[in-house]
Amino acid sequence: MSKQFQFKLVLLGESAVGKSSLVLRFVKDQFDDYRESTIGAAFLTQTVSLDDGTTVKFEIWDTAGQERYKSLAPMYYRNANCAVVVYDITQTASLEKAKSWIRELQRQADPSIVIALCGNKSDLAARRQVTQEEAQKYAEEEGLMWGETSAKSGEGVSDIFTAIAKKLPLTAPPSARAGGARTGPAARTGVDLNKQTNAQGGQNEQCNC
Amino acid sequence: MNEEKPDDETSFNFDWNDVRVKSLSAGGFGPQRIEIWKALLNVPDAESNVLTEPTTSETDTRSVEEHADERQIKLDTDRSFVLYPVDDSSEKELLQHQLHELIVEVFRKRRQLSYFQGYHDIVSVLYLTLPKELRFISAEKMSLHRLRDSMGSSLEPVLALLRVLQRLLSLADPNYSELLERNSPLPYYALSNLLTLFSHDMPTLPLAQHVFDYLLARPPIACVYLAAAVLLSRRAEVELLEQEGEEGMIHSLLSSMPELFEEGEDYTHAVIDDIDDSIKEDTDDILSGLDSSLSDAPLSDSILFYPTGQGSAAVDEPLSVILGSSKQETLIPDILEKYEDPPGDAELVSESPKPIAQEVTPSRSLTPTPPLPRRPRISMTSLLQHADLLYELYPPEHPSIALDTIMGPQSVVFTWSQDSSLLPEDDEAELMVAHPELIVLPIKEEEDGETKGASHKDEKCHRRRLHKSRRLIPLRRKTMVASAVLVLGIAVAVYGTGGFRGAGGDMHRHGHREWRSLTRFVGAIFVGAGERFFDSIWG
Repeated sequence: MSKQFQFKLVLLGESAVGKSSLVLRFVKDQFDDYRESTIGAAFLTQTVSLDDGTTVKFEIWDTAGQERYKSLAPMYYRNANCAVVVYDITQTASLEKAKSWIRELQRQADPSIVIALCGNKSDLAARRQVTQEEAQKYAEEEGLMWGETSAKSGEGVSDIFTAIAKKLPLTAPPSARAGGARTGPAARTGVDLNKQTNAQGGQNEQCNC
Repeated sequence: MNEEKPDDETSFNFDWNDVRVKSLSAGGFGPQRIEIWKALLNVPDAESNVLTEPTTSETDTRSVEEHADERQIKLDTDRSFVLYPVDDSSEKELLQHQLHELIVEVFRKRRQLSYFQGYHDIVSVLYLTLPKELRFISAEKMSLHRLRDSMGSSLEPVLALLRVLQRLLSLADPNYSELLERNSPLPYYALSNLLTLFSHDMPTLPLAQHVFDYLLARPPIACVYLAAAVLLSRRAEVELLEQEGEEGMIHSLLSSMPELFEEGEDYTHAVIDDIDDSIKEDTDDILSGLDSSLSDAPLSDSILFYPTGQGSAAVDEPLSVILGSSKQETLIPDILEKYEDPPGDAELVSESPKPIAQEVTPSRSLTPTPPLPRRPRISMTSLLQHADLLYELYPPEHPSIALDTIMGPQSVVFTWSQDSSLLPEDDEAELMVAHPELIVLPIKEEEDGETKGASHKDEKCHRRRLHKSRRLIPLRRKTMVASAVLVLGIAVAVYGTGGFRGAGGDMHRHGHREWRSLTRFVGAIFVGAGERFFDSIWG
């Protein structure tokens, strides 16, 4: 009787903010001090079980951060149900880059996309350049979910993905998994444009436009 | 190894055919690698440096201002040498530092070039292979004459190579190609291989070196044929995944390497080394995961090994588990049948190395996980031979490949020559990146839309249905050929004028300057005329 959903998630953000590390922590609960650059894009999956027995399978597209790979990004965010836009709390410039990704998503992605702004490397708080207040305020203004994470320590990582899983509209047909994914985001068909109704739990999340 | 021999141009006299044959053999160039790479990259001897490199001295360029990409270079070299060669982190940091210095030196000298993520993987292979005195000049030569297309301002040239690859696949194996196109409008999973010449994804240095042996002994387009051979080797696995409806999994699978080995080496030992060193992406975990049972079967020449699904290699765990999903899923029951049907050989019947079914005897288990489907074990030699065969059957001039309808006259695929006197001068080559329109030809709008994947779901399905027929419209082929004739006509004119080069000495330098400005001039004319020409054809 438990429901199973499948959602496409894309990771965006400046080079070396820790996108791949974040995914590695989420998917395998691992961390590598040396993590090579992503060329093009990488794909991973992870399933989250929610309290009500529902499972949400994330199909995660982890993208390359360098500006020159930017032209590939639409391919990955176009049919995405959710996006995690990552910045590095020790690099102010990376928040600016995150903002430009968010603007692009707001312009180009599916209007129902759930966007989470994620400040990574919270274990390096001593070198912090981006305050929580600043990022949170921006997220509120834009109607984004927001959280800080440390892929290194694991802090906040599952929280942010779980919050997204809870927020994603759970009205999509559970049949989404068997073969429908290939021809398009079948899970998307049930997406409710008005997400407020589905927002619950998670950290600091705001309703999405 | 060292440059004692004061020969003329290069210190190693070689025959291209010999070198190509040698590059196929187990271990590639082996101990001769340094000498041969040096020759293949046209690296002058230290003594003749003054003659061939009259322009800038390296000491001048080291102190100049930073290149715009240096921050990105640092970000990448700081996380380089992940797979090899050392585990010790202080040693690793020293290597990273030296790699960074080396790359920065190239970009400070060749300021027109742009850095791309993955370039550091290529240079790390050079760095680990060559003695210090050859590293910079080799990286520079390779960048200017082989990697240049990728070192302009955009990804367009490598996306164009993906289109070439797609054409090649649809010739070599139409059914498989169709399957792939249903899942991805372009073979994006090959992007990293084409950009980094496989260096990003090769699990060991010797394998990466062997691939470089192969590629450097051939024209730059050879990387597309090798990428095709890699993709074709994974057909059985892809068919399985397609049944599972896992679009992303196919991407993961195909962006990883098949299980490669050198013929004659202690197979089990080699694989274990690979895996111990491997802390790569999850795609690589497919590789290691699938190694749970191995065989020490004797290796014969030129044989592609495909798994048979017999023995304990029977499948009872889905690939997605390996990629991180902790969920168990149902299996495709007819996998055994699938695997018994060797992929990719239907169109290459007569000449292709005939895949044979290999009895699998599990020799050891690397992980406590249950038995998994095995990825194909392929000897490096047979993979490279397959690439050569593809080149022979479907060369770039083949009407259905028609490389000159995709790449422009200033692409490395056309400016490279095995006759080093026909190569553009280093400085000319550097400037070519400033003219992307001469590197990739403009593409028709509808095709553009497709490659960008700009479509919504329904539209996409529609496009997919249309795809095959549209691709083969004869009229369009004619227009493409016609435009290519125009382009090449201009290219010939440009190169004809450039042909004064090589006259030597001062004349050479003078001619060089004229050639350069003429290139720009003709390039500009081409752009203007080309646009009108294409407009008139395509309205």
